[in-house]
Amino acid sequence: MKSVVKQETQAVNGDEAVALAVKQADVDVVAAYPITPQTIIVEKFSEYVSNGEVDTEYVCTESEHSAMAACLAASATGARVFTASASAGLALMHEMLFVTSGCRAPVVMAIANRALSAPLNIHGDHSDAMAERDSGWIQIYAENAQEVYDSVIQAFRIAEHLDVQLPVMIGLDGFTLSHTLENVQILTDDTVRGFVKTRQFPVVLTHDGKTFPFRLDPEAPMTMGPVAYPNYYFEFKRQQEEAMKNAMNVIQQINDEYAQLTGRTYGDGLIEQYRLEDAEITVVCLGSTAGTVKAVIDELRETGIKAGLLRIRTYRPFPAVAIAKALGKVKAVAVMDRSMSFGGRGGAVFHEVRHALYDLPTRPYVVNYIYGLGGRDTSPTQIKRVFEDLRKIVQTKRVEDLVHYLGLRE
Amino acid sequence: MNSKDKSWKEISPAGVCWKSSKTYLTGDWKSFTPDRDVKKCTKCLLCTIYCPDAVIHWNAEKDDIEFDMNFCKGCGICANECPTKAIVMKIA
Amino acid sequence: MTAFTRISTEPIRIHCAVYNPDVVAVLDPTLLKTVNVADGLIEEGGNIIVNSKENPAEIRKVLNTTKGKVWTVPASEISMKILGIPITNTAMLGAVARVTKIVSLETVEKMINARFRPDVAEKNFAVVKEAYEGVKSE
Repeated sequence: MKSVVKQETQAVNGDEAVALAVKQADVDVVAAYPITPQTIIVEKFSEYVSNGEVDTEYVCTESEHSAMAACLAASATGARVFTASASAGLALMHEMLFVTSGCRAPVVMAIANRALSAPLNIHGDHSDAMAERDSGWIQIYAENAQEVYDSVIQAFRIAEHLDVQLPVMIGLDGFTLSHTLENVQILTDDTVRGFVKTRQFPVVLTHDGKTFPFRLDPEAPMTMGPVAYPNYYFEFKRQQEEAMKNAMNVIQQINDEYAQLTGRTYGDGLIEQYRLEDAEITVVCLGSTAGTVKAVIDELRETGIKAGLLRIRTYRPFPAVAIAKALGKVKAVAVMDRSMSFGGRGGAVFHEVRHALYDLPTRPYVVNYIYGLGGRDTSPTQIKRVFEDLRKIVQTKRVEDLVHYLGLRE
Repeated sequence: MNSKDKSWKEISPAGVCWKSSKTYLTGDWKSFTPDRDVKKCTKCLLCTIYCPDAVIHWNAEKDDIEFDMNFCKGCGICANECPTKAIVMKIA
Repeated sequence: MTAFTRISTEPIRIHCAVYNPDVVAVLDPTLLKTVNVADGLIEEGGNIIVNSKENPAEIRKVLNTTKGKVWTVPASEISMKILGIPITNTAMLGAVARVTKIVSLETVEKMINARFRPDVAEKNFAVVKEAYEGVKSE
């Protein structure tokens, strides 16, 4: 195997890992607003700016909505842009998320996934990002601080790819990853620069038959995101969907390229399969809980139970084909959702996984476990119970309840 | 639906227009049109600043202002702002 | 307020709270009145380290368990004396290092020097050393 590049182990938490990645990625503009548990990202990065360690224009905006507006504008002029948010902050920029993806601006954003109010909760869950799954942003969820660091670096390449041109959000679980110290292999500045390269621009047709690189320039005037009447709006949205389809391949390519460089791969970039080849019962989940599930699976395997895990790393675009292929031979699946879709008969990931499996000639039983809301801890004992429930389903060939609430006090 | 409308594969991303806004004449939108009494006009140029469509220009050669009626939508702001009431809105 | 640490030579994949600690470090002794700090402590070989001027025997009386070995170290007093502020983190770090022997005093010194600028590092290591040598068991 080709040797990997020089890397140095540093003990950092998830937020610091993000700041480090952004520092090395030659970012031109950061416009951000602080919110727990992302504050360390913006604080750390502002230290780098203040110390002159980066050549980044740092804009402290008055709100997250303004932050995204500033990011979009900067990105539209051709700058490489980054920001970070969470929970209510992400919700506040909701409108601008759609504008950013509609304007095809390759902004990269770290989201320290945190619960939405009310009641007020600063701890981790996925409700903030799940509420934005229709926004046209690529969504990648990390399992540990190493993956956070690696994914932020990869994100710039994915977003700026000529066939994609979509904004990317990287999710790291609030507190569990954002504030927890882990060992992270950090690449050299040169390696990261060499990987992220300089931003390239697709060439677009503007008025009077002229073609220009896709960025705002007084020498090559164009309008991005103007009014589009009913006869055209639909077509622009279809273009975004095509970009999402292309992203599916690009994410895998970038994962492979990064693996060649560093020796680290995250499944195929879209999904990670843990002991799934001969698994009969499987858990599907996103984020840091996957790590706990892997530890439980190893224990169960010792006793002969054929348990496996499917971790969805890329949630948007949703890798339905890869999921159906991976779960085709499994007998029962528990999809774990760290957010709720009120009135929706289960969570978002549950809906989409079930949908992905619908066309299989033989379908596994698929049930839902809502867990970890508002930072509620998910213990190995609870996960063992999930696998136990799955075993019972396989044995009895019956599903008692479709949707469960893990660890809820009834 | 115009049969000349392009498919999603042919158009530029992000709504980038393939036609200049100068080809999209909005002048026939107006119900009212500005009528200027040259004798009252002091050429203060306030109307050129206030016009939201920038259709009033200073022509140095003619030493006078000009209205580009291809783009005037008849909003009446110029008449409203004119300090000498030189501009009056008439039915278009 | 509880915080958790896992230390291992193997990659750690678990991302949840620690339910069965090997060691419990109590930085704020007033918690002993309201919280069962020994909850979940492993049956054999556990350690409870408390920031206190008292002897371990006195602390054992307050604890609601016979499990584990109780240690005390006057962390607040040590940090006040050397740092001038009652921030007990580095003192407790010294105590934990001594009790668990997971890291050597030399390693702690090296890490402190890497983390802080020289004058701050010197004081913090003095705190660590005094706590390391001063922590006592029942």
